[in-house]
Amino acid sequence: MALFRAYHRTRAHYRERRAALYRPGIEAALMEEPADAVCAILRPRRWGDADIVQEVMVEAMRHLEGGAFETLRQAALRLGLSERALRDLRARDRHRRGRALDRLGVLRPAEAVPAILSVLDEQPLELKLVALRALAALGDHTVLPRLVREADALPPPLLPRLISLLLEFDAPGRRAAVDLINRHPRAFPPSAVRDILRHLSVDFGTAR
Amino acid sequence: MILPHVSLAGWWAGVGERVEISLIWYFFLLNGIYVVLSLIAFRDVYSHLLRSIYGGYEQIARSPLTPAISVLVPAYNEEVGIALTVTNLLHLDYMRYEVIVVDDGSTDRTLDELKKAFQLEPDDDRAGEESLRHAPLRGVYRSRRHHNLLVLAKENGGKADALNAALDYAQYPYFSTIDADVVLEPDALQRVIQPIVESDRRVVAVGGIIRVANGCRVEHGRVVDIEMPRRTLVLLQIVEYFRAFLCGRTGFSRLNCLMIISGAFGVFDRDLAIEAGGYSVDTVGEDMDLVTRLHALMRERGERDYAVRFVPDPVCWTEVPSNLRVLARQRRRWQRGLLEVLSARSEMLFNPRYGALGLFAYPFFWLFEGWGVVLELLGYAVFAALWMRGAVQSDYVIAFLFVAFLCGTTLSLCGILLGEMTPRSYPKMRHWLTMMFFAVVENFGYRQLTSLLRLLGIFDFLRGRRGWGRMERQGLHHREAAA
Repeated sequence: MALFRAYHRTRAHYRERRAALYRPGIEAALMEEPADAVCAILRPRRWGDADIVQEVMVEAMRHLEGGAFETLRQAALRLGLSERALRDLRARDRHRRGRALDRLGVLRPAEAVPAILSVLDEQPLELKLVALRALAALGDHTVLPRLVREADALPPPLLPRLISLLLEFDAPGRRAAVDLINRHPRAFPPSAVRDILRHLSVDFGTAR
Repeated sequence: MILPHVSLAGWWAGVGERVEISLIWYFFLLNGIYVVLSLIAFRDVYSHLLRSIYGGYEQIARSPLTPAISVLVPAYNEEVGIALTVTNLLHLDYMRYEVIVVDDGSTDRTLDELKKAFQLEPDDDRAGEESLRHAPLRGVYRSRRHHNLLVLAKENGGKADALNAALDYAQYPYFSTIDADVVLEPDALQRVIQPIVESDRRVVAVGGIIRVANGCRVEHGRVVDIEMPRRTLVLLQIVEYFRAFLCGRTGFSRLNCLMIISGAFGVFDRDLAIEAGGYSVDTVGEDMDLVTRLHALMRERGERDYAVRFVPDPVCWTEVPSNLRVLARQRRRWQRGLLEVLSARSEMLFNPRYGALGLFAYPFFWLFEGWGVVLELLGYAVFAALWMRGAVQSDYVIAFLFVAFLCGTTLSLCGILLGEMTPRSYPKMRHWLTMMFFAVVENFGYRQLTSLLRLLGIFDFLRGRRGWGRMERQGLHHREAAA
């Protein structure tokens, strides 16, 4: 037990120290430095740092939007983080695939949508949700029909969650959400329907 | 008729053999089950830890369609820390929730402290649904500063009664019960709602882990520094909590037969809880009673596709007893509550209609947690008597005690290791070494003490004793909580 703990703590400490070297890259993005400069700071300096850089960037991008997010996104593309995530979609370890799906939802590379769709059917349920969340974050409206079709395969308790993801697609997503409720009326408890309709600003007469 | 001659020595030997066999079977069954539960817990906690990296909690927390939660806080004589507790609750990282504090007829300045801190004013417009019975209300107050804070002042009726009153006024589909002197991590609600919104079955209740706040530094309603307390009694409870929550409850949750969600922190389906009759005022184990009734309700409705879950990471910090007197009251009350619930639900025993709950969890709790302590203590007493009479060999006794000690220590170490894997673990090596030390030490006195207290709790139950007793709190919200 002591060895396990020592290894775990030492590794965490090492990663934190390495991560501290790359955080100035995030600050540079926030200071509106160009993507080239940010990329130079974030370029891994040692073997094994790529994973740490990825973690630093993805964690920062989760909480950013606007110019800083876009700069980091460009830097991530140049550093090959998207390619890594796309490769990991085919990993045997499901947690690795889950992390890859999650990262793709944050990094939002253009080629992520077809890649995620191609592996969607193979995933266990919990990863399917992560994949759907990533697709919602990518915001490509062309995937909406596929998301609505996924509802047929999802257990009813998960349909409100799918609605929640559809709403991230703005107006087309709202129409898809209403369509979904009409197709699966029994899956939505009254409280969920009230919340959904309140959010959609739709009256009952339109939804049913 | 000539009776067979049986010598006293022979009779003793016969009794000794039966006691030995019973104790050995009890011992192997109990520890075997705990080993299996611990293995399940390891797999689950590890998987949960990896899963939480891509858990999407932020998206869940900010989604307008994530179910809103009513946070219910029953309070009785909590003037010391109620304002800071509520302040902590009003700053959780969650999109939509309300906080309903119930002053259960406090004789101190609990209500005054709330009025002062949150600028309360009477709210004549807000009315309860009157779906649950409770003691009469003296007043309903809303805060001028915090739109999502409601305070109910009522006649004293006990914790369950206060929760029913709060439930009556709760407006959201899920509710969370919080003790008045706990500190919640900011992301606790988003982590505890995740199994509800991302489960393939209807999750009717979720419990989170309770951590010991004694010794930690709490500032402005947040645990800012995780430290070990100095008191031996508290240190022993830390080890015990890790074992009970992470080995026990995780395992039961995986088998979908979790019977207890701690009253200090849990989330429940409001409609189902009301349909089940709310909290029972007839037992001091109202938390376990509600979970058991939810199980029963779902089974009686013919719905098998449901779950009661425990998640190891939404953290709630609470103060545990730091002296023997309060610990004794607490443990006697817990034992009494357990037996009250078990006796009220005796139809579950080995009843396949209740699935894993009836076939495994209920018998487990009935035998090992409820009445098993009688067999245990009686067994040790008889064992000692037989050993003194020479009916049992010394080396056998020593071997048995050594194996018992080893099993107990191993389970505690498993709990500590699982605790290391969860968020907000004790950061320093000396914390870990201290816990490991007490995982060994607890076998020499503390376990026996808790068994004795549980036995006293059984006597309380058999005598029909009622009431909560008094919890003496130091208050979490000092610079350093009393260790």
